Amino acid sequence: MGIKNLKRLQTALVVGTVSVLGTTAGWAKDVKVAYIPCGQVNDGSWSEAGYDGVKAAKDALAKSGTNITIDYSENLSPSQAEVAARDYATKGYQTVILHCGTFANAAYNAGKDFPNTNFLIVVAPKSVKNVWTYIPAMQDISFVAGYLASKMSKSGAVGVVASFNFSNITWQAEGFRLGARYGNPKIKTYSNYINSFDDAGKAKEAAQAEIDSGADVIYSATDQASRGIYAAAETNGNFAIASYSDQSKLSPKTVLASALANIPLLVENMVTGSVDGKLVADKIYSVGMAGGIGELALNPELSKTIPPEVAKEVQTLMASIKSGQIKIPAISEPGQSEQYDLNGLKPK
Amino acid sequence: MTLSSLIELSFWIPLLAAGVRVATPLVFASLGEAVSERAGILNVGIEGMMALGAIVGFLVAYWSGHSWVGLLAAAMAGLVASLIFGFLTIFRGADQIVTGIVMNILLLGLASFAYASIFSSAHVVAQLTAIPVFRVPWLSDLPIIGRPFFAQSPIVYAVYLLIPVFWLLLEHSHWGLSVRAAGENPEAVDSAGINIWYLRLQAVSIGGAMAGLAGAILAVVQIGAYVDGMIAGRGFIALAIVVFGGWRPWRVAAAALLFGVVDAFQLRLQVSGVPIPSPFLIGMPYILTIVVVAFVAGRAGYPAAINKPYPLRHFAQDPKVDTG
Amino acid sequence: MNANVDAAVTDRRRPIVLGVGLVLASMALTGLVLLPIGINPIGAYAQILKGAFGSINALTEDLVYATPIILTSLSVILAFRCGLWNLGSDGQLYLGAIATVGLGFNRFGLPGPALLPAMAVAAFAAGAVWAALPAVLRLRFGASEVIVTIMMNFLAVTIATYLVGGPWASGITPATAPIVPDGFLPVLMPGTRLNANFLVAIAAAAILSFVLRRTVFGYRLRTIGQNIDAARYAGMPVNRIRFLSFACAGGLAGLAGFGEVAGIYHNLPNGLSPGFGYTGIVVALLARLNPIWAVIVALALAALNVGSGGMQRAMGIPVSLVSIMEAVLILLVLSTRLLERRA
Repeated sequence: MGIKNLKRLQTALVVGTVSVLGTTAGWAKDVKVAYIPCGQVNDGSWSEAGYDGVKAAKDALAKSGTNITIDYSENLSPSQAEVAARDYATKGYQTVILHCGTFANAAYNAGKDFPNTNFLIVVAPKSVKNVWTYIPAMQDISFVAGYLASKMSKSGAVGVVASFNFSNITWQAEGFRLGARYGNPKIKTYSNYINSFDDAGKAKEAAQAEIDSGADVIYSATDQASRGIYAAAETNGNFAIASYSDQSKLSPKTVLASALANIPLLVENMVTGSVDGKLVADKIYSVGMAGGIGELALNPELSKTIPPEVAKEVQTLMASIKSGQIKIPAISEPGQSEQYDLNGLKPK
Repeated sequence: MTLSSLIELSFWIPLLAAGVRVATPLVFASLGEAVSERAGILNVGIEGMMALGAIVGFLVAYWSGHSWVGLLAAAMAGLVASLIFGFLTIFRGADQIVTGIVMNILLLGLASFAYASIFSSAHVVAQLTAIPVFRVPWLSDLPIIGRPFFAQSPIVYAVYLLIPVFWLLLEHSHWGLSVRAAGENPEAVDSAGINIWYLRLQAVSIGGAMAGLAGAILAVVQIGAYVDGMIAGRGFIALAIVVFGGWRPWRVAAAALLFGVVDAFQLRLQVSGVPIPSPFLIGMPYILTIVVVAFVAGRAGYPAAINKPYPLRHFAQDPKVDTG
Repeated sequence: MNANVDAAVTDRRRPIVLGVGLVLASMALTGLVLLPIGINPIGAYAQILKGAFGSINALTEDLVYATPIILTSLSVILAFRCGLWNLGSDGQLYLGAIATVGLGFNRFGLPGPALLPAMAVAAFAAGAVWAALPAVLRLRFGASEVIVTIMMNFLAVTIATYLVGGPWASGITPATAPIVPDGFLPVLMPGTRLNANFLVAIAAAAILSFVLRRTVFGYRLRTIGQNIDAARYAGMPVNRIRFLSFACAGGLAGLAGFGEVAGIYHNLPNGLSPGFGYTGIVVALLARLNPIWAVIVALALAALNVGSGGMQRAMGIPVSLVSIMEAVLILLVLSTRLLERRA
């Protein structure tokens, strides 16, 4: 390990000297970064969003003279993720990004044994020494999605289909339901947990169950299984709202909008911060709309169906949340959003 | 919506319709597997063959623009996979369960690899256009059963045709008789001059083709996309449904429907106001299967010759002691 | 449906030449798959070796990966030896993990040193109970243990998911709250993940081998597996022995869950088992139901798996290709089985 560091230093020195001669940018770094997501980097959802962020960080850092190489490992179990993280650390990677909630232990354990490597872990309890956690506070943008859904609903009922009853996913689902109530206090909201990230068939039946009970806009908090939701929505002529990435091209006639958590932006900021050594010690990077995480990407084909007043109200709402006037709670218990006092959401 | 809505028809009729939908791919896989098991071949690899069918079916449907072409290709892919499985288990005496498990690993890996390789750069894979629901005239207006059974995707009506076909094939045809005998008393079949190995290969091929078809139905017809991991254990459920239905086509179909209804039940319950059902409610289909298998269907037992390779002619071998 | 035990265990001779030939054949076959996508197969295999054996860390990871597989394969072996199929070792593993975590919160205030053994016993018991039900249904009602154990697997995951998301939730990660430090298995080599459960697995293999070969119980068990009618005729309490064996098989798988929770994760995460149960079945049969051989086969498979991970990271090959390679190798082995037995 000591010899490796020496070699890296030598390489850096050589590269640095050469590039100083060649550019005016000053000292150029060669840095290796590893990305370990839940699924595959082209899954069109959570894992791909994170990968886009790492790539964006690469571009951003290249402008300031740092050259990153990105390597990734896909579809790992939590235990295999730890093996991978340790392996990357042994090989001298500067930053290892674990973009999956189940990899928290992997990050902390590897972080303890490899103090010279930075570990970034999503949705974890704490940041400690060389391990930082970043949390996209998706309840903010889910709230906005719920608001939009309630305004677009003709039947007076909307629903959300979620993967698991795990905190950060429940925040999304309940955030949506709360936002729907905010837009229409009389609205009925449903939630359905399918206990899977990839069982599209179950997602379809869950969505259908809500549609059969009257819901006509369905929010997806299910990762790749969202395909099933779009199938159900298409069959019944309903709208769906996607999560994590812009999925309007996947189902142009049904996906009304996508609740982007700007995961790419969050990951990009974390990676650039890590490589530049600018991350604050022991800080939990929980970022919501106030920090730029949370955007509603409208489907260009369907945006005409949104009445102009509604579009304006959505913009106003988003501005209020961004400025901190309205604070969206993180609700961890399914169904609690139905009891939440809407008065607590009045802009201050 | 409150729990009192449970006593209303507006809860049960859509639930029945959901049960039919969930059951559809399961019936395909189970009917095929029933034939295979009757001949003495237990194919634990259905899960992998369904995944193969899903990716092949989706790719071909995507490229050709026609769903049925995708379904056909998926059936062929399942058939090829089952030929490999059949070769190893029938002609090489490999243990059926282990071979099946390894086939699962192979085919699930293949499906995932194919999707990742083909769609890595152009990552926008739009949904296939859904096949519209077809309302059978007059029948779909029947009270209670009209909508669930006769206002569905055309593939469901294909199932209604397949069940009697399989029933005739298995219970009322000469071929079916040989197949059933092969599973219970292979020596008798052999002495009758029938090529029992070839017969078993035919049976397992039907199982594989139907499994491939089942996977494609899920991906192409019901979802309109391929998602890694979308089979989600349905292949193993099909194994259970075959036993649940006592290896007889009509009962297998009924078992699949019951399973589908119970599976969809907890989802509808969540919408009715039960925020998070207890794990036993979510696990109700599995508990039901265990109960039925234990106290009703399981008594019949697997065909006597299941997982016992019939020795090939050119190897001299002492008759194996029956450990039954 | 009884498993045909006799043929699987009789032939002990395995020509080394055939074994080596198989490995070479599978390497050649998978090389054919790698070449079209522009990957040098020789380089890939070198990376596998490097990933599996190239460092102390790699070697310990081989042992870590092998530990649960050894236990689940022993579980399958024990059941199979008396003619029963245990396809439920995954579910039994989960139940063992649940029991481990449950006790691991130490809400009962057990004294420090007593916690770990208590967790192990609870894990064994939980796995045994989870196996007892299919055993009863099979022995009493003739219900296929193949189906019942598969259903119990699904049920176990459902219960675990509920606990992770509900009563035992950590509050933020998709895992339960952590167990107290008294419940951590000791690490055998600092700086690595190798924990004491590896020794438990080895001990279990040794004990099982001893029981099978040198005890009356083992003798009876083997007789039941080879010739159940003879066993009954000899007056053996066949059903009782089978029940006990199947329950103990469940317990062994439960210990695998114990190891993962107390030794690796220190909580119960979502997706705990990537199919250890089914891998254990493959190992058990490849090892011809011999507990000692099972350890060796499990280690070999673990090395292949860990090494493939290293190869995947070094060469950017998708993970799924690794599964394909492993499956092809095992299928090739299976294709020679019949020949081998005749030799």
